[in-house]
Amino acid sequence: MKENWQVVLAGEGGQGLVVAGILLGEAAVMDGKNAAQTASYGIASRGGLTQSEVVISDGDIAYPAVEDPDIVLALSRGALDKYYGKVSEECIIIYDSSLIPGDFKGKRVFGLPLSDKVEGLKKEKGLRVALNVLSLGALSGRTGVVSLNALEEAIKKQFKRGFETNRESLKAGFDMARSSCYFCSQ
Amino acid sequence: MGKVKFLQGNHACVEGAVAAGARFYAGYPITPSSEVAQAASDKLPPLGGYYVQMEDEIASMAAIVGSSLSGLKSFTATSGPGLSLMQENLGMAIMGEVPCVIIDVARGGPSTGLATKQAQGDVMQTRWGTHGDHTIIVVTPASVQECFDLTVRAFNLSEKYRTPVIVLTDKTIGHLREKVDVRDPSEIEIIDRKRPTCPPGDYKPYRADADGIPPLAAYGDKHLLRINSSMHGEEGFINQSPQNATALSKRLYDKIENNVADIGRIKTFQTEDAEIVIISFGISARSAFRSAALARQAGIKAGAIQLQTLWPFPRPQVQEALGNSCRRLLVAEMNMGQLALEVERVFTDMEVYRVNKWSGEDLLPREILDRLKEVSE
Repeated sequence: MKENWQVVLAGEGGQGLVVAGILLGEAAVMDGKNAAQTASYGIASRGGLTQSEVVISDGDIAYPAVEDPDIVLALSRGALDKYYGKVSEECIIIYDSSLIPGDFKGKRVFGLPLSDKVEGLKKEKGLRVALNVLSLGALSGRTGVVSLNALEEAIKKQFKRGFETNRESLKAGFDMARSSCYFCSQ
Repeated sequence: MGKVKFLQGNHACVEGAVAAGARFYAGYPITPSSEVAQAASDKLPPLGGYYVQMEDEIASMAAIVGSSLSGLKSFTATSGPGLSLMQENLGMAIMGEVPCVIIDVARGGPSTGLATKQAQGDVMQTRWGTHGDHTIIVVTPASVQECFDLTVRAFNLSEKYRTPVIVLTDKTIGHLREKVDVRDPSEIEIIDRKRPTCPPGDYKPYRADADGIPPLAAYGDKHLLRINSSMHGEEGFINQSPQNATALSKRLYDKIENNVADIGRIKTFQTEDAEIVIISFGISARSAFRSAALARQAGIKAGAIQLQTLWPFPRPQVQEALGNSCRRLLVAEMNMGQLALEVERVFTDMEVYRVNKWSGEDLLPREILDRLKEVSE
């Protein structure tokens, strides 16, 4: 298991990426690690490139922002363009293939139909699923950077209501990505 | 036992203030400090404390001076433009010897310059913003844990030396979230102001003890408290004589400047054998430590110093940390060179270089590293 992770959650304003970053950091702390989270966003509350950065480490964190990402979650075309082909080949890129059509190659580049899954769960079960939470589940499933359990605990702490829906969303994202987790012992 | 939380720097400052015993906040919210006001409004009332939203920063500063003199540890928070408005009453607090804490979460200036972006342009405003001969204590956290720890320390220094103390952070530290141990008050040293022990009739609010600091009564006590922002005698009545002006100014200056050994604090990274040492503070110090580590990998004997006390400049601590092999200093800051002026003044026997950025973005480890390589050749 890697000791240091630099994670970028990128997309558009309004997708809940800042909250996702806070949840990811909180979950890492619950897993007994150190974490630092920063965010950058435009002045508009919706639209525009927004990103949340989380550094997770077993040891002390010297510099708290991302220098060279190990994991990128891209939820918009603009976010994917910013990182695809510009980061190390070892960097895991997970992108929403239902929002971003196209053929993106790379041994660690994974398109997952995250938004389609959100819509599917709404139709099948009538759940008000949030893309950010489902994507965090997928991130955990594919990389093992934080445990599913810790994410659930972080959500419980952050939100007073809707825990069951969020738990199901997390699990759906996790299961979708789990089939080819890169670092988890399987 | 304390609690481990995942908090924003701004929130950690409030946790630190509460742990130190602060029970009064008056402020006027401003980006990027607004979360301090928000957290203070959540935390203080349930503890029997007070949160007051004021009409502006002039009134905010006046309110914390008044509440402190009534006996409550008091604080406010702002950013550069608000600190400008507080300067008049900050001077009053210095002259009147009023303990209080001001949290300044710096942003890009001057004026409304870069209202939502990053800068460290308040180095000299915190030192010299209010007029007249004076000195002041400024502490500078570089992590969320230090936001907690150094806010506690700011209250302690403020109470001990009967003077205002500024906690200077920046937009990035204020909004950064990290793991923080919110220590229980029973686990930390907490200093309260000296109270008068003499009979009420003998009390003179500006009669200093041997340490240069007068005990402080509270308004409403049997010990009659008189506060005066003009040159005053021991009883607090105006005294404009040349002898008194000379002596009082000197006492106010000495009570802080003669105690740099106690007030000054730094954090070091591999300075012992370093040939070049980066001097920095706030979030730039995090970049500095990282770039010194990268420089070592590249064969440059670099070290770094974070100033946890910015003012008074912790000269003896920095001098002690620098080893015999150090000949060069690199001052890293997000402004056009303010701390560099002090470093150049103090270390006349060293070559002092600068690395600056004032674009509204953080100074990155690789940018400091590039400059290190440049000046190490």
